[in-house]
Amino acid sequence: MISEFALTQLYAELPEHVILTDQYQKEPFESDAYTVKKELPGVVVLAESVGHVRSVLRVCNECDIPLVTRGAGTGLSGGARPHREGVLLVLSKLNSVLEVDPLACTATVEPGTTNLRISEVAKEHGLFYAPDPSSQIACSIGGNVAENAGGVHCLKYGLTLHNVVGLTVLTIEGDELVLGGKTYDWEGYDFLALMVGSEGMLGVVTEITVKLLPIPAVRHVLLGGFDDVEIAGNCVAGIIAAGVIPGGLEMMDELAVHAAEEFAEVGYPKDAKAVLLCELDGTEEEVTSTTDKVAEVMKQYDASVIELATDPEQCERLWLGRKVAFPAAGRMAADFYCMDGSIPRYQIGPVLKAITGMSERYNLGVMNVFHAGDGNLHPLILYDASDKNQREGAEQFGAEILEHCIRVGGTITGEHGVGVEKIDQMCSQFSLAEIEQFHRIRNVFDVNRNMNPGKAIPTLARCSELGGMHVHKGQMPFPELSRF
Amino acid sequence: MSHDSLPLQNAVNTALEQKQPLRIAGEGSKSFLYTGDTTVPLLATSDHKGVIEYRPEELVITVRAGTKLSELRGITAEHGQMWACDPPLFDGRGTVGGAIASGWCGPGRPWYGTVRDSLLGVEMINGYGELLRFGGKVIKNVAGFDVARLLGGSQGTLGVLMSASLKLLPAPEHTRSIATSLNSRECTTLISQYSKKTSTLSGTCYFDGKLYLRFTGVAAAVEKEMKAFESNEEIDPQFWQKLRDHTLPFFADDKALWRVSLSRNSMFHGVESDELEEFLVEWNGSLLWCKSQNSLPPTMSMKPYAIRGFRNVKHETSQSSKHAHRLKLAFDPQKIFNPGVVL
Ligand SMILES: Cc1cc2nc3c(=O)[nH]c(=O)nc-3n(C[C@H](O)[C@H](O)[C@H](O)COP(=O)(O)OP(=O)(O)OC[C@H]3O[C@@H](n4cnc5c(N)ncnc54)[C@H](O)[C@@H]3O)c2cc1C
Repeated sequence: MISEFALTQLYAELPEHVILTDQYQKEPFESDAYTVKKELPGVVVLAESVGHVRSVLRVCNECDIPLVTRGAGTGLSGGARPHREGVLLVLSKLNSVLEVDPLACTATVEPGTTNLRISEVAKEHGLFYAPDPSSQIACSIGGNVAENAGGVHCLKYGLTLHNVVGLTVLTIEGDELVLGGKTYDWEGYDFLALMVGSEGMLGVVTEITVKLLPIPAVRHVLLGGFDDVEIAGNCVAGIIAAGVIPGGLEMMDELAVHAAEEFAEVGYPKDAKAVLLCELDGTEEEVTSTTDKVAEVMKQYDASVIELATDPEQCERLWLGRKVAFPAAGRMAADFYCMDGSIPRYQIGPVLKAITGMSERYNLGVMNVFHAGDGNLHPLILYDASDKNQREGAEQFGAEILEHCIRVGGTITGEHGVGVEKIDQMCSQFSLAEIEQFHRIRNVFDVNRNMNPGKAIPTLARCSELGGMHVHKGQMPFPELSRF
Repeated sequence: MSHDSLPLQNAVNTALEQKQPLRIAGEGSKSFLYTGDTTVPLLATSDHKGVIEYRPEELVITVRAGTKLSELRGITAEHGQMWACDPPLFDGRGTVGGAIASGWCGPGRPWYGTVRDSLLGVEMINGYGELLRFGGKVIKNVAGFDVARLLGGSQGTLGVLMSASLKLLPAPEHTRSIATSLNSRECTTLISQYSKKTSTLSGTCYFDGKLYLRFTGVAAAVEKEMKAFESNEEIDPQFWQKLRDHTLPFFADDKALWRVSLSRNSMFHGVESDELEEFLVEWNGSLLWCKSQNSLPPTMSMKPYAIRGFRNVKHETSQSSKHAHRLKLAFDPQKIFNPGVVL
């Protein structure tokens, strides 16, 4: 529970209706989309203005209590999991589009604006916002900044980091940082880059200026069906090596194809072991040329089926199967656990094979549907959460996948963030000195460490403990690896 | 020539013990930009060079900081690839470490992004003498704070950059460059059309009443766009390298040169004011170079500051110095790296 004193301060600063204290009001906020670990927040504040945000920051700082920021709560790593003794600051009502500047090709919005809304308002100018997480109808741009969210089109157009040009950030110490803006460069440290992906631990983002791009004149989608998952994985590397950067390049394995077919009947080749979806966009000449190249590469990698969609309707149909993959997975098992490891592209084939091996060992199904062009895996582990053995097995299976990603030169999270979910694996990926450097960076903005405590960066004690376990077995975690 | 990080790590540790500040430099190609104390000993990274790993099919290269940019260009070009942010070589000696620390990029900036955009991971020595690694070799990575990208443009104040993994792009298969005589208003009209459509445009530069345009990409696409410019003068593509490295005649005299970063929507507006003596604009009108013996015209309400012969322009709305100061101390508590350089 939050202290009486802090609560009184909140009531003194804020209108009563934005403060939620009753159990039934707080329950919808006990977790984000990572539902394994839940917690009832001390109090919820539904901010309606930047002034409300400032007030919450001031009270949390003065009363020395935890503050967790929440956008839409679609996070998959528990980043927005509330703190029992703190304030959960919800920004979904701060959702105005402040400006669209068609000359500069930028939009300035409040943090609660949904990702898709930005493209909707940009459309009348022939522009769009490129990063498109699958959750884009729901997730907030503030949450995207905090997680450095990715999406299908990030392969060609970059991640959130590459498409955010300006931020206003309020720190818990009461400072306002205006970072970047409409110029291409500026003086000083690149705090903007540091804020992106900082998981709500350095400040509250209150205003975001994003870059908009012209909507591509032409779009084609190529579907390739393969008889072997590993060969399909290698084909991904082959396409990139051929000098083509597709608008999107996604992969689905046999199970994902079947699930999608059952759900939406889009006409994917059901006998294929893997399907690649490759979108090519740009000017007509560019798309014609790159479509030919990609089809050629798919043939070289023995694609059993190649289908080309050139009109918008056909393209939509091919994408539909990919888009319904997650809900479709929901039908395959009682629960699924979505992993987010990221690996070099040339490792896709071998890693998928290793995951199949693990799946047999843990006796749990796994379905792969992911951003193949970026090397960002999303194995969905299928299990039944009401079965304790399966639940524990799923967690171990997931952890083993992440450790495997590190071993092949990858990383534990490509886009979903560390949150509470992957905090132990941080100790495998980083040395104690590196973790300590993260803590020092955190202190630059939040000496009392009240912003989103317990997330993203493990304590040194926690890592020593885990490291100790590994050392006990006679070795450091992955001593042979340059953790690079 | 050493490929080992120990010599540099030892040098830093000795400096820490002796409380002896150091000035970090690669080959010194950008020393004219250095604002710090030049009397302190030099820590040269130029011997720490060479490619650590290059997988062309991954579009990722990992190189030591002292590797020359010219060498990097050569190696990547062999595989039809490029480091797209295209940092200046200046006198030809520029290193990868220097390019990252200065954060400067070439004429393609609005289309290809900046140095930090392509920075996937780094290895560095901080002011505790520790060898640290951040980021990685993969395209997507959100584990931990993005220290790698924070180092972009940090001017060597946070530590010694040892090596970096860079994201590369396929080099364009075809390039055409032309020049056309226009006034600045006509430039605005033309360029604002391009920002709304899919195009192969990848460079613009305006000075002396001429707009220079570069188109790059798939040959058929470039050629189609060139049809609109059939009657215009074709120029040597070397123009863009000379622009990048400041070897165009425009940059060749001793007059004070100002670098002004303008809003993305300025689109060449107002650059022909009477107050500006000589100027050159690139980046779709957002990067202005001008020569003036006096201070800048008041219409450009920015606080200028001078770096010896070269002058930069600082925006009034620069960020909090409190956090910059704390960040410096978070990496370099004894302030041994590049004393006097304040960001
Ligand atoms: C079905 C589904 C599909 C998904 N697909 C993708 C995908 O394709 N790509 C992808 O990258 N992610 C995906 N996600 C994950 C999620 O949507 C993203 O991480 C998203 O960016 C989270 O946004 P949010 O507004 O829901 O943030 P929340 O979950 O509310 O918060 C996430 C983190 O951001 C912090 N935060 C939120 N707002 C602010 C702010 N204004 N200032 C500071 N910190 C803040 C929170 O403290 C928390 O740490 C998916 C999730 C679901 C459920």
